[in-house]
Amino acid sequence: MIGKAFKLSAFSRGTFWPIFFEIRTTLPCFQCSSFSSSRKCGGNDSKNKPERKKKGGGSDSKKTHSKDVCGGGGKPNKDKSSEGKLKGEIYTKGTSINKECKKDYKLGISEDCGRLGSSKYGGRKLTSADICATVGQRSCPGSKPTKDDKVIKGKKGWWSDVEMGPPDAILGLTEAFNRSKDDRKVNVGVGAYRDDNGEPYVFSCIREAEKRLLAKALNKEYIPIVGTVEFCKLCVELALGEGSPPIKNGNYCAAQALSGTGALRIGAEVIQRLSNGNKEIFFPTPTWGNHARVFTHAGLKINKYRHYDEKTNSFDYDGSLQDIEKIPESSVVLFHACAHNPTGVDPPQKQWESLSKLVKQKNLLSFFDMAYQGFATGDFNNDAFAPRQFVKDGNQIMLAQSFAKNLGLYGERVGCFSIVTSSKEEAESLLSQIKIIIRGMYSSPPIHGQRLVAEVLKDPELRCIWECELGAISSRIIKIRKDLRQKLEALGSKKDWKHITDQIGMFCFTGLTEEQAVRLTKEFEIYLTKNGRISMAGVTSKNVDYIAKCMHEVTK
Amino acid sequence: MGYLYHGLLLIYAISICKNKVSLYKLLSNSLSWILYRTNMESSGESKFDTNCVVEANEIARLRAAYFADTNRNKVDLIVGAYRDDNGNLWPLPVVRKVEEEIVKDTTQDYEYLRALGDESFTSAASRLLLGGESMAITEERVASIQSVSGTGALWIGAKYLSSVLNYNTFYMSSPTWNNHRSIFECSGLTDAREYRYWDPATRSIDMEGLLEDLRNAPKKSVIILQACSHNPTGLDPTRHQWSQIVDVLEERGLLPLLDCAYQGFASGDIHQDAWTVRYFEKRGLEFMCAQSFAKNMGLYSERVGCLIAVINNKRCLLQYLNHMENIVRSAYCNPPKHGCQIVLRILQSSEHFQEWIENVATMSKRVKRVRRELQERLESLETPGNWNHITQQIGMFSYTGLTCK
Repeated sequence: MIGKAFKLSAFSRGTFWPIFFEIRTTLPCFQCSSFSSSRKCGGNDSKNKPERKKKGGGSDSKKTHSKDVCGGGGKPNKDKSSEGKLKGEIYTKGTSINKECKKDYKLGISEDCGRLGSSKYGGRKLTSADICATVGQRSCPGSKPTKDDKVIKGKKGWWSDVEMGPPDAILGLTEAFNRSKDDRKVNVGVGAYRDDNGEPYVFSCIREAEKRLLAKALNKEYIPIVGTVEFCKLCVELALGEGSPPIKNGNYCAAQALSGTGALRIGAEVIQRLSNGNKEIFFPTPTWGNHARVFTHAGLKINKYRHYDEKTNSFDYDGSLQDIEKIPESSVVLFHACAHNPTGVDPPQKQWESLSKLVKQKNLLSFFDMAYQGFATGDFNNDAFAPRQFVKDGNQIMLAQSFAKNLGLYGERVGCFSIVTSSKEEAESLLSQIKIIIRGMYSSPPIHGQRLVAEVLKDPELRCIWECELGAISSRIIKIRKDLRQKLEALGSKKDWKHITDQIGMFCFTGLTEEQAVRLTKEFEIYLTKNGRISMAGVTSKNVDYIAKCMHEVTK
Repeated sequence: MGYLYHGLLLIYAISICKNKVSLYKLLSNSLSWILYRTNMESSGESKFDTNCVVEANEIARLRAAYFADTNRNKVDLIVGAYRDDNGNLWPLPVVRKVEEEIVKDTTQDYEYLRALGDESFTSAASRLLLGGESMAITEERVASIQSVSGTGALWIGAKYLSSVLNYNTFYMSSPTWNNHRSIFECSGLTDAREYRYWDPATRSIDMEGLLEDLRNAPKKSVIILQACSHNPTGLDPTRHQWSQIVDVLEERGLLPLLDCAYQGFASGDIHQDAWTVRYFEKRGLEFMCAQSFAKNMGLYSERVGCLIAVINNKRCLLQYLNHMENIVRSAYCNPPKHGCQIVLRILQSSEHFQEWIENVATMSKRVKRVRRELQERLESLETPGNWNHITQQIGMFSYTGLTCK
C-alpha cells in the first residue's frame, strides 16, 4: 500500500556503510578497550585472551582505574527476584583483563570490549557494583575517553561512533541567559512575547477558553489524522478570508500541524514525495534559522534570493525581483507572509503585487510561512495581504500557519498546513497523501491547543477579546520601537536608527555586526543572536534605557 | 459545464436586477470570479497532479463503515481505545481532576518546552518505566526525550537510526501494529523484514521461527519488539521466552527497539507490564523504548509519550541527545505541553498516582472479565474450535483466529 502511494525514490536516501561498521565491531580489544582494527596493542592475540576467573572479592566498582583496564568488580548480587531463576539470565561473561589489577574482572569487559551477559560463559550474577568506571589508556589506539567519561560497563555501543551535532544558536542563547546570575541580564534572543514587566503573557481569551472547555468535559478520543474539519476550515478562513474562492469552491486541503514548524515540515515532505516540480526551495536572505534544517531534513535542496538590503536596512525589491527571475521554473519559493523573521522588513503592498505576478509568470510554487498574522499590525486582514494577493492572482500557494505567537500558545504546538489546489478532486487526492505522511510521523495531532484555537475563532465574544489583546500587543511593540529609537538618538548616536521603527513585528534587525552583538552579550549581559537580531518583545519600559545605552556604547 | 451553469445563472440574475447599482455589483463579482477561475486553470498542469487517491487504511475504512451503519445493534471492535461497560469512552477520573487543577493554576503558562521536552516529565516517565531501582537511571545512562505519543517516539527514534547511525534493516513481528512499517519506511529505513510470531495452527508464539529469524538477521538490524500486550495478537512471550530472545539479540549484536504502549493496561500492574523493559536493562543491553501514555492514562489525543534510550557511555549519550535535538527541531521544534503536564502532575503526586493505579486496574479488570465472559459464552454455545487463546492473550486486542471470510 505504501508502495502505491509513494515514489520509490523517496526511500532510497541515506548512506549505508555496513562493511566499515562490521569490521569495527568484530574486532574488540580485550586488553585496552579499543576497537581499532590495527591491533597495535596486541589485545586480540591468543596469549592475551581473557581468562575466566571465579568470583573474587569486589571493590568499589565506581573507582576510576587510571592505568588498568577494568573489567568490573563487585560483590555478588543478593537480589532474589524471580529473574534469577531464568537460565543464564543475568550471568556475565567471565574474563580477566589485566592480571595486574586485583579487582575481580569476572564481569564484562570495560568500555569497548566484549559482551556481557551471555550464559555460555557461565560466571556470577550481575551486581549493582559491576561497573567499570574507566577505560585503560595504554598504548592502544582507539577511543580515549576523558575523566568525565564514566563508562559504566559493557561493549562498544551502537552510539560510540557518533560525532557531536551542531548546537542550536537560539536555544543555546536562552540556556546561557538562564545560567547567568548577573542582575543586568536581558534576554532579547528568543521570539516569545513578554509583557512590559518582562513576563510571559497568557491571553485572556485563552484563559476563558480553558474554563469553557473544562466545563464542557470533552473526551480525549483520537482526532482525525489531519485534525478536525472544523478547525482546519477556521484556520484557512482566518488566513485567506471567509469569502475567498478556494474556500467557496473547495479547492484547498488543510491539515492540523505541530505549529508552524510542523506545517513547514509537512509541506516539505509533500514537495519531496509528491511534487512533479523542481525539489529545490529558495529562502529569502536572511531567514529564520530553522528553515534550512526543516527542508534539508526532508530531502530538499536549499537556495536563496535577496530580501534584506544591509545598506538601507530595508527590503531589497530590485534584488529580490532579479533573483526570483532567475529561479528555475516549478521551484519552490518561501515567503514570510508578514513580520519577516529576523529582519522585520516586509515588502509594501504594491511590491507584493509585483512579486505575485512574477511568481505566477515563472510558474513557481509559493510557500508562505505565516507565524504572525494579527501580531504584526494588529489587523488580520492587513497581515494576510500577501498570501491573499497571491491566491487572487491564481497562485496555488502552500501555507504554514502558527498560533504560537498570535494566541500565545507556544508550547501547545498548534498550527495548520494548507495548499490551494487547482480543483476539489486534486485537493482530495493530496489530502489522502498528507494523511499517510502524518500517520508515519505522529499518527494524529494534539487536541488541546486546537480546541482552544477553535473555541476562540468561532466565538464572537472571545474573538473580539482576542483582537483587542492583539491590538494592545502590537501597539506596545510599536511604541517600544519608537522609545528605543528615540533614546538612541537622544544619546547622540551618529548611526541611523530609522529602521527600528520602519521594521515590523517581533524582531528588529539592528544592523549590529557579529562582533558588536557578542560584545553586548559578554560585556553587558544582553543576549541576542549574533546576526544582530533582537526580539522587541523582550524590550520593556524598564530595560529600554539600559539597552539603548549599551547599543550606543558598542556602536560609537 | 461550470461556466454554462454560471452563465445561465448570471442571465437570470441580470433579469431580476432592480437597479443599476446591484447590476454593476453583480457584473463586477462575476468578472472577478471568471478571472480567478481563468487564472487557476490557465497553467494547465499542476505540480501535484498525482492521479491517485490513496485508499484509507483498513481501520479508517472500517470506522467509516461503522459510523455510516444505521443498524442499532452495530458493535465497534475496531479502534484501540478503551470503552466502559456501556460502550462509552471513559475519561480517567484522575485526569479530569488534574485538568481542573491546571486551569485553576494561574502560574501555568504556555511557554515553549525544550526540544527534548519537559525534564521533570521525562525523568518521571523513565522512572515509571525502568523502575525506581534502575541502575541505568542511577548511573545516568538513560536518555529520555518527550515525544508526540508512542508513534512520535518511534518516528524520531527511527529517524535517528536511519540518518545518524545509518541503519536500513528493521524487523517487525508477523503480524504487528499496522503503522510500524510506515513509520520506519517514512523515516528512511527501506529494508523491512518480519520475524515469525503468531502461529495460526497453535494460536501461540512460534518461538522456534522467531529465534531462527533473529539469528539470521544481519548484524545491523533494528528489532521492533512489543514490551507487553502485543498488538494485534495479545500474545506476549513468557519470561523464559524473553530470556531466549535476549540471548539471541546479544549474540547477534542486534539493536532492540521496544514499543511499550500498554504499561499498566495489560495486567493491571505497572511493574509487571514493565518487566520486559527492566529485564533488558538488567541484562546490560543497550536499547531504545517508545513509551506511550495514550491508553494507560486515556490521553489518546493529547499525544504524550517518551523515547527512552539506555546507552552505556555517557559521552555517546550526550551526542545522542544532541542529534535528537537536531531531529526534533527539524520536525516540530518542541513537543506539546498540555498532555505532559497532566502526566507529570499524576506521577509527582502520591494521591493522584494512587488514583491512577486504581483507574488503570479498573480498565484492565474489565478487559480481563470480558475476555473470560466471551470465552465462556462461546464455549456454552458449543462454538467449534478451542477458545482458550482469548483468555491466554492479554491487553486490548485479541487475535480471534477467525478467518477473513
